[in-house]
Amino acid sequence: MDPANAPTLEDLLRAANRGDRRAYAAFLKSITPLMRGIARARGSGLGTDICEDIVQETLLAIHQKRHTWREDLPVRPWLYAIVRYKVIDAFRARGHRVHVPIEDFADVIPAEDGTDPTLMADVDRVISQLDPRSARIVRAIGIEGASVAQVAEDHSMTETAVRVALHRGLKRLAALRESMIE
Amino acid sequence: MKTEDLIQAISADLHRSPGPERRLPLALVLTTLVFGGTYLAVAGIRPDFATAAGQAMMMLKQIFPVVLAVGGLGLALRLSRPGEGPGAWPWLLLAVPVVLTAAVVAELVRLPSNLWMTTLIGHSLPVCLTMIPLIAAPITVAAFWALRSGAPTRPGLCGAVLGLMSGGAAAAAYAFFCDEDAPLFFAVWYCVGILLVTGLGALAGRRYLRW
Repeated sequence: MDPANAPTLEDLLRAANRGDRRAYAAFLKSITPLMRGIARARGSGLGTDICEDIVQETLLAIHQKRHTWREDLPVRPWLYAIVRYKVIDAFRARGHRVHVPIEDFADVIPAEDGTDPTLMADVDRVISQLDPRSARIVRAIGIEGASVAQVAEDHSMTETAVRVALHRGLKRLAALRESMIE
Repeated sequence: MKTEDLIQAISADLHRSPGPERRLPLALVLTTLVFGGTYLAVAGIRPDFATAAGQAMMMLKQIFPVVLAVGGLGLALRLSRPGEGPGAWPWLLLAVPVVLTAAVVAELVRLPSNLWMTTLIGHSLPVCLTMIPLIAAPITVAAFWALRSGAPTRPGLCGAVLGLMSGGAAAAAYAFFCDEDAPLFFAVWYCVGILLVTGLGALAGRRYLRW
């Protein structure tokens, strides 16, 4: 894609706010390498799997709080403030104190996902704590890439019910992850 | 579950919660009317309200808590959105201690020093120090509830500002009952009550406004 015409983060998140699922996925995908870079730069001693958990926690936090971005403002200051808060919080929950200077966001090298997927058992452990139906829905849409309509048909639910269950499941997931860190 | 899968699941959830921009002002106004109103219905508005209204110091006592409530509301909403600065709200809030200090100094100059102590103590100090935090308590609880959908990156500060807002609103209601119009009394004791709520708000914020 011609970089001059590429949609900005603001374009993507605005479209997501209008209900554009693809734009939302593109937004989340494009911010993930930066978050991963921050987590790895700050938590190099923790191992890439824990850093990936922190990336996922931060993604869930961005998702739960995305209404706090005002559409007339740039996305980055908002995003960096959330990432900084959640990364510090995630390290603290694991007994590490980190300092995340805001300049980090300019210097950090975005990191691609290079972790062995078998290492990432943590989120699965948390998903299994959800009620069985929410867990099935989160897995079907996430891992199998099913659409809401497909899941609705497979579980003989309405699409609205699937959306509600997914929303509740993700919210619960975010809360559980906080409480399940030893 | 890989991060990519999680993104896929998240992006299918298009339900956006409403932010605190509506809930917080609503919670503030409703709880102030209900709990401030209940107190005034029981204790009564000062009998000389109509004659006292219009005197400068009485008006200052009525208005400065409202400024704290409004400034606290505006600042708390700013603090609940990550990456946003405080705007002009701190300046509005800062005007309050400046004006109050000026009023107290003017009174000290005017009053002979043997009257300072009796003016400071007044005749309703225990009621004042009890009622402002007591009316503020339910307002603070409602404010914390309203801010759950916010994302304050400094939860302690945000809790303090919510306490300041609630304390201001409580004092604004209490002022209709209170007939002590000496700045030496209200500038000191109203602020003690309001700052107590502010401090408790800071402690509660560190605990309950985390996300």
